[in-house]
Amino acid sequence: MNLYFDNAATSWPKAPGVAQALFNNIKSMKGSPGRSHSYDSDRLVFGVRQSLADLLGTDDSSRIVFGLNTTQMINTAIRGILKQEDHVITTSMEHNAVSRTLRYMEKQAGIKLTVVQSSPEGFADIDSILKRITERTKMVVINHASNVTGAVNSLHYIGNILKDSNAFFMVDAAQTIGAVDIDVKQNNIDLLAGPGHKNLLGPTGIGFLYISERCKPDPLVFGGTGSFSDSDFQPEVLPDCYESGTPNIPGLAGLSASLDYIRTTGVTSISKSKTRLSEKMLEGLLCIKGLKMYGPGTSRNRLPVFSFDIEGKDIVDVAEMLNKNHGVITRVGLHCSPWAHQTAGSYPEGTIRISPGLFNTDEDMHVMFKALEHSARNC
Amino acid sequence: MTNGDVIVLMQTVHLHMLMESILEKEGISFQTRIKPRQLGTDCGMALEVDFDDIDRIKTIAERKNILIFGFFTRCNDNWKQYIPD
Repeated sequence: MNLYFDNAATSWPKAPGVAQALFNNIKSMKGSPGRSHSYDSDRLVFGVRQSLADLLGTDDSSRIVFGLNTTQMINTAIRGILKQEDHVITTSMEHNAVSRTLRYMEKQAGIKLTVVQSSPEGFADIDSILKRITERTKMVVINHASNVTGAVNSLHYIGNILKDSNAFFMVDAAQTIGAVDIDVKQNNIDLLAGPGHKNLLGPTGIGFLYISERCKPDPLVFGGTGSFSDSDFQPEVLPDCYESGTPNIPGLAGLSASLDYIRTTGVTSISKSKTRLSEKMLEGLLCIKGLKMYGPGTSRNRLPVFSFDIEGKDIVDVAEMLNKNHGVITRVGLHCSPWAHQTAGSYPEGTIRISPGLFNTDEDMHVMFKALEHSARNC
Repeated sequence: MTNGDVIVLMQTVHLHMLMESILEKEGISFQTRIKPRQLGTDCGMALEVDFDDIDRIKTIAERKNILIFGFFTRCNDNWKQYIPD
């Protein structure tokens, strides 16, 4: 039997009802949304958009646009807005989805990039970010929570400062949407990208981007939308502008079911469960001899995403033993976030990352800690 | 069921779906159909409603700040824009 502890990569198991929704959709639902007699598909897409808008605290669900994943949505926002000489501020904890896109724009489009050093635990230095904002600053991009250390950043101050400036506030919510309450209006967020398959507990293949009234990125992809078909030009209206081609309808059906589950359970309740998981993780990890943890040492302002290495041991050997001898699935390496590992002090080797999910039981945790203790001692 | 005398066109599928959900909540009869060729050549859709409900729909749309592209009434084999008061 396998015990899955890589929920920061993708959640498993998915929310109750997701698998059935996918099956039912493929079996029964006909048609591509926006294309003639596809009313049921249209209603499905609309319903998911409404649910996400409710979750994010916005009234206008046309401002939620769908794509393949968070990375594609981050690309849409960054590449669709930034132009030559635009100044961008980001943090040293960003995932490659942000860092590579910004580096590409720096090299190819001539944007000016400022990377503000975060703390080794993974918290953004908000004061330093705010001090670096100039009249040329077009965007501040921040990781809401680190996929390496689990540190959760405060969004309110940055949003509040930027709301009266020319700069847009962009949030990578890959690790937090569904696990932490996020209100785009209260936090003055202009752009927020997130996945359906992590803490929203839905299937892979769906990402979304919230776009505020203040900004209008150029679309990344052009093509058929089912609307304004007599025009050679991409529709300017939302959400059509950003949704060319046939969407992932079964994925959206699955996400619809998982959003029902999230709504019924409540993000506040899920957030409390996550804090309890963090407490258990801290308690268990600190008992492992030679273990060095990277990230916040308390359960406050953190997600249950834990990175560590073991003194004198090869992390790959430990992870392999965990998997082969005990069936415990973790994630080892740089987690697509070399900047974060440089910041935390775990670069270039990387870490073993354990990220329990909402459905991991106390017994799962107990077995995992025993397995880790054994692997750390014997590999 | 409606008598199919009036078409309400929204600018996008999203707004069409939004209007559908509102009409449903308000208990106003409607039927979704393909947009008549005379009113557009894309693959969009239209809402069939009753003539008697036009004013109510217009009021609701104004209250909720939803842009209606237009009301159209059947006129022989064609559709003619109808502008409510």
